[in-house]
Amino acid sequence: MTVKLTERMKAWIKIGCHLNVATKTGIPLVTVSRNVKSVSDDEAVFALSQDEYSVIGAALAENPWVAFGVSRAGGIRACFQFKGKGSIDKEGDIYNLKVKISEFYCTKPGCYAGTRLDTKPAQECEEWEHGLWTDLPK
Amino acid sequence: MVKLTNEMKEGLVVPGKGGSLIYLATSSLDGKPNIAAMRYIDTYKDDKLLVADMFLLKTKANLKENPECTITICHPMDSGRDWSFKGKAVDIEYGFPPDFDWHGAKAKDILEGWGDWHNKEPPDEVPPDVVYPKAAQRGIVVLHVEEIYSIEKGKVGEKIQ
Repeated sequence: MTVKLTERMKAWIKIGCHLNVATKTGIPLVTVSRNVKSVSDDEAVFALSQDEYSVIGAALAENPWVAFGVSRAGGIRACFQFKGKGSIDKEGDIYNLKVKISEFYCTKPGCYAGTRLDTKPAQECEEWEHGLWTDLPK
Repeated sequence: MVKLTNEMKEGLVVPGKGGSLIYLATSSLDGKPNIAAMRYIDTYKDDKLLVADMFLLKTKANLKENPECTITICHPMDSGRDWSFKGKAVDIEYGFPPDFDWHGAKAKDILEGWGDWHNKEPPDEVPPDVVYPKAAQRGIVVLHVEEIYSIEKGKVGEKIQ
C-alpha cells in the first residue's frame, strides 16, 4: 500500500508533534518533538534533542512502532493520527527520528473517528479532507 | 505517591473553562501505540484523571487488554502546563457494577459525576467544523496516576513526582 499524506497534513505536522512509542510489552511513552526536519508523502523526520529522545530511545530500540499526532492547535485542527515504524540517525547532538508512515486515521469526533484514511485513493482522501477543512496552521 | 497540584487541577479541565486539550496515549499488549486528542478532561481526588469515552475505538480496545496509559498536555503548550501523567487506566462504562473500584474511584461516583459530560460541560468553544453532531458517551476513562514527568522544552522526561 502506498501512503500519500495530503499537503494540508504535511503543513500541520511541521508545527511539531506528540510522539507515542511503546515498549514491546505495551507501556506507552510520550515525547514532544518541537522541531520537524522534513515531511514527505510517506515519511516524517523529527529532530529530537537529547531530553526529547531520552523518553523514547530505549523503547524504540526494541519496538519500532511510532504513533503521532500534531501538537498545539493541531490537536483540534488537524484531527489525524499517523502510525509507522521509526529509526534513529544521530547527527551531532540531534537524534533524527525517521518515521516511515504506513497508516493514518481520522480522529475527528463523531462518525469519522477511527476511519483509516491511507486505504483511500490519494485523490479521494484529499477531496474528503478538503470537504471538511482547508485551513493551514498560522 | 502522586498528589496533583492545584495548578494541575486548574489546567486539567475542559478548554472552555480555561483548561487544556490533552493527548491520551495507550498501546496494545504487543506494543503498537495509539494516541488521540481529547477535550473532556477532569481530575478526581488527588491522583486520578478522567477522560470521556466519547468516540474511543482503538484506545478502548487497548485498555481492555492493557491498562498502561499516558496523558499529556497537547494545547496550550506555552502555558506552563508541561506535564505528562503515567499510570494505569480503566474505561468505566455504563453497566459497570456500582461498587467497582479502581484504586479508590468507585464506578457509581464516576458515572454519576461525569456520565453525562456533554450536558455537564457542552462543547461550546469547539469550532463548528470539528464538534460532533451528537454526543455518544459510553463511559469514562479513569487514569490512576503513578508518575508525573515534564514535557517542558529542555526538560522533557524529567520526573516531577
